[in-house]
Amino acid sequence: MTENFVLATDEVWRLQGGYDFNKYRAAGGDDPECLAFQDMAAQGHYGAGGGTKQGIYVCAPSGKFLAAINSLSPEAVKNMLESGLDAWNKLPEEDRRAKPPSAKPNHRWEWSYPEKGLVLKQTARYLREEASKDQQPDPRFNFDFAWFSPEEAAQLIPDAPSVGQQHQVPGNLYRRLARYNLLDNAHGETGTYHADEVLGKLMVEVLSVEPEAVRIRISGTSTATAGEAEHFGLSPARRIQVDLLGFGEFDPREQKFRSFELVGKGKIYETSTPKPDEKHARMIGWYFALADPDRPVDRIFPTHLRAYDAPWVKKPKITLQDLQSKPSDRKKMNQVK
Amino acid sequence: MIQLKTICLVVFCNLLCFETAFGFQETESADQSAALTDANFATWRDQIRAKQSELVWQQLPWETTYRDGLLQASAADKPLLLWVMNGHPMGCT
Repeated sequence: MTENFVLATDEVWRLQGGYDFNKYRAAGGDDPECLAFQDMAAQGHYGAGGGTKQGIYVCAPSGKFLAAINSLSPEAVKNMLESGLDAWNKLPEEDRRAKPPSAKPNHRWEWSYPEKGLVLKQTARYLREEASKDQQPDPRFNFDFAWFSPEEAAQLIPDAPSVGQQHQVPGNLYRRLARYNLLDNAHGETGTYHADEVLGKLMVEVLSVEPEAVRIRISGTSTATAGEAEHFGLSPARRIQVDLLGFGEFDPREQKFRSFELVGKGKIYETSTPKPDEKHARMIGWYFALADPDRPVDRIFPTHLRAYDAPWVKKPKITLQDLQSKPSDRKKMNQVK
Repeated sequence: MIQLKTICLVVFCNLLCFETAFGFQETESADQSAALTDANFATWRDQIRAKQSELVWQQLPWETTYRDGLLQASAADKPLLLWVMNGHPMGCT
């Protein structure tokens, strides 16, 4: 496959201009990368109308459409790839060599990547109820990321750390994880929680202190409860109760983490106020570890980066949430804290 | 979303003739109803984090933006295979 194609992935919600690319353009949306994608994808399986453009596309470097599909069938996808390759081989030489459109984006969330900060890659996976030595992990898992600036990362370590010292992680950093990462997202994207819907804390215990390394143990609990306030887009799980445990090593000379692992084990409930004897619907786990800054696939932006209360996150001229179809929704979204 | 992602994973791996065996790493057995403790931390971690066999598709040389894909395709004189989903395919979808 790599012999015949160059491979690329990207996030389609931004590329397609949100719900409707016509409204995106009417509102002044003019990101060249998005416009180039929309022009190419308009010739694909979903046509030129608004709505999703999810799928797999084959195009020439010039952006000339060759083939596309959005299918769950490996055979159908394979056939489409062969069709696209055939169309490429039949292209006149001048079309094959035509240069790509400028397509230089006005904004990408990756531009807010916190160099030298704490960048965590998250795996979320449903957990089995019963444990046995021969048990296979649940096959449903998903990834996401959590970003913290260098200044925020340093707040995980107490000033003048000493062995045995207990330190509470600042609430805004705990809430970032609780609202945007400790979600029922092993099966796919899901909604997030309002700030007043999460309750819990993260504690750091200093295990050892050396000039080149401060080792810490992280523990905590978190409860997220979907209340009466409206959630826009996808709704989060009614209730998730989480236990957290992790370990890290911070280099005080370079002011960055050299290792970091955090495990969350959660119970998901179908109601916001489960009865005392009510069993959870399912169990879920999250694993956070340092992302590799040298791997492009580890520099993907967190799904909910747009909602971070962080001045270092650079936002686009038009946020796709501004293009909600109902004025009342836009008003309500702007009121959410 | 996870269903399409799973199918794409299977397609890409089959096309490469990789085996996608979801092997189980031998780890100390753990009572999953037990609280999260220092003693069982590694067991829980190993139950959650992705295995190498589950990450084969991420080892392919993916460009992570549409524009970068077009530029690389032009440099390589090859067509671009672009995979797009709600949520970046390399993140949460």
